[in-house]
Amino acid sequence: MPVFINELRHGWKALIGWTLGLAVVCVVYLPFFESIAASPEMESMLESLPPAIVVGMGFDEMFSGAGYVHSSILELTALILVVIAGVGWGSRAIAGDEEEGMLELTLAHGVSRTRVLAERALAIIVRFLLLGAALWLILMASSKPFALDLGAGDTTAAVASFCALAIVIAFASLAAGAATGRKSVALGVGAGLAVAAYIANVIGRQSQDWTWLSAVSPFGWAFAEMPIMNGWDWPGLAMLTGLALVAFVVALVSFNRRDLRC
Amino acid sequence: MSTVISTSGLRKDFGQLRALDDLTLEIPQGSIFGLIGPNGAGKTTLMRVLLDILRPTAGTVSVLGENPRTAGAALRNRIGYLPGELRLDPAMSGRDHLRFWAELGDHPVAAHEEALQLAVQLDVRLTEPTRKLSKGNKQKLGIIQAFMHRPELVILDEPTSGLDPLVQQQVLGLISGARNGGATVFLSSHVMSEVEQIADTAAVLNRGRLVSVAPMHELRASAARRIRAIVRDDSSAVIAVLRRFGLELRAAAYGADETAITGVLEGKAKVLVTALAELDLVSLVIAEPDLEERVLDIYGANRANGAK
Repeated sequence: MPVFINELRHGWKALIGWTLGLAVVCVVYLPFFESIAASPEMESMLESLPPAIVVGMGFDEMFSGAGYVHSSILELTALILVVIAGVGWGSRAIAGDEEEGMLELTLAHGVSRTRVLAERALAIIVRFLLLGAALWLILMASSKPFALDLGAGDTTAAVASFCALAIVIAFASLAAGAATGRKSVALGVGAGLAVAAYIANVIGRQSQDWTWLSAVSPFGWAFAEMPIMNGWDWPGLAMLTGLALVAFVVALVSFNRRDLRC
Repeated sequence: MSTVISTSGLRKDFGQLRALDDLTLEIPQGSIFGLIGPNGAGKTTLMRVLLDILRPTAGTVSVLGENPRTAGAALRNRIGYLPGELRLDPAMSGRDHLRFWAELGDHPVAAHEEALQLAVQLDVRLTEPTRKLSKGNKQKLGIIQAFMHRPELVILDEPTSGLDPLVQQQVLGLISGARNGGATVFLSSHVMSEVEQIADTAAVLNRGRLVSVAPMHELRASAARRIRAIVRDDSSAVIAVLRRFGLELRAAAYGADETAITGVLEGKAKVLVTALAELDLVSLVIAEPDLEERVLDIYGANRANGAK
């Protein structure tokens, strides 16, 4: 798998950078849990906020360790990091490489478009699995010192949903880039999906009338069932996997049909 | 002799722009085929169609007996390609690039060995990231990857652009070597001299249309040659002789008792020599045929036809 190997061979430095980013986020946020959970001021501050914001942002879950990790790390800071990484990787895989003029020569060699696309998609998945594993290790290592009381199985389930969401967003960028050959379109589609999914989920949480928004949001598929407290959310994971597959097929079909932009 | 590349009625449109127009072309096996044309003539588009990077709008294409559209990677394994504008990953070293390209092919080990050997031959530094390499050195990497897997067909888009004359000669040597080993070479250039030095047959492409295809020696024979002769006769006598032979050359007094004849000779030199034999010839220079001018003539004629 030359393309896959080449991707990882030259992407490991960036991957270490993103891992450090996740570690920093955890180190910055996790130590506050004990003080937040114990502080009456926090409680009164939450009461003073409009309930829509409290529920929408998931602040109501902040008083258990798992809930705190869910709201402050998985659903927010770490997610922002992996969305940025994923949109970048997804856009670069085809469209970025194409715009920089290097894809033409790669494809002039004895390698099919399907293969280049599939191996680069696989490289994205593997990167997220590695990032997920790193995040899992960081969380488990933090559980005791910061009194988070995380379950290993539930954390695995939560990180799996987290990674699946990141892959969906990366694949949206991949598909848009593979279909158009334009990096700007790829970036826009990936980032746009992430923002739309986030907003849909926030609105969906606030009232019974809008729960359907959360139900159609990839964000909701990853987090609505709070896997870090409730364990594996198989239906959510299935929806995320399905959407990633759809994006991959769209990428494959459209990329094979078009001219390379050179 | 079999045909390696053949196109028939090939057309490629980019929106309103017609990049290739009803192109019918055959390139025989074992030849070096030069494609000449100004920038934007469609040379690169044609090459990309042969490699299935672009898909034709109409017409048929056959490369090594296969349709590039359906034969896919297996066909491209038999082809070496140098793009006109070579782009490399600035962070990767030459060695990384060669390894990657070798791994893409059917015989990675053999291709990689060949690549390293060519790198020594062409004197490329492989350890530095390519952002530190000069344009010429990058181009060498591009040349190496086009030849490393010993392809049956080599397609080179402006192969020697950016290379110093010494390396140009090495590259032309590589091209001849590949041909002598049985490969077919299809190269493009907007510089005539490059094609002139090496090609067996040349085609002139202008605005997506094939203007002329001819063996190199024919193209050369039809090319104009600059001449300059000095005769010890007075200019009115010289003009009379030139007119009698139908030669459109200039005659002007040169020094005290000599006349200089200058101009461009088209066709055979025999007429000129016969005419000059009647005069008291002091010196005669007939320059090498300038194919560049000949090609410009062809473009010009084509443009004039298009204007009608």
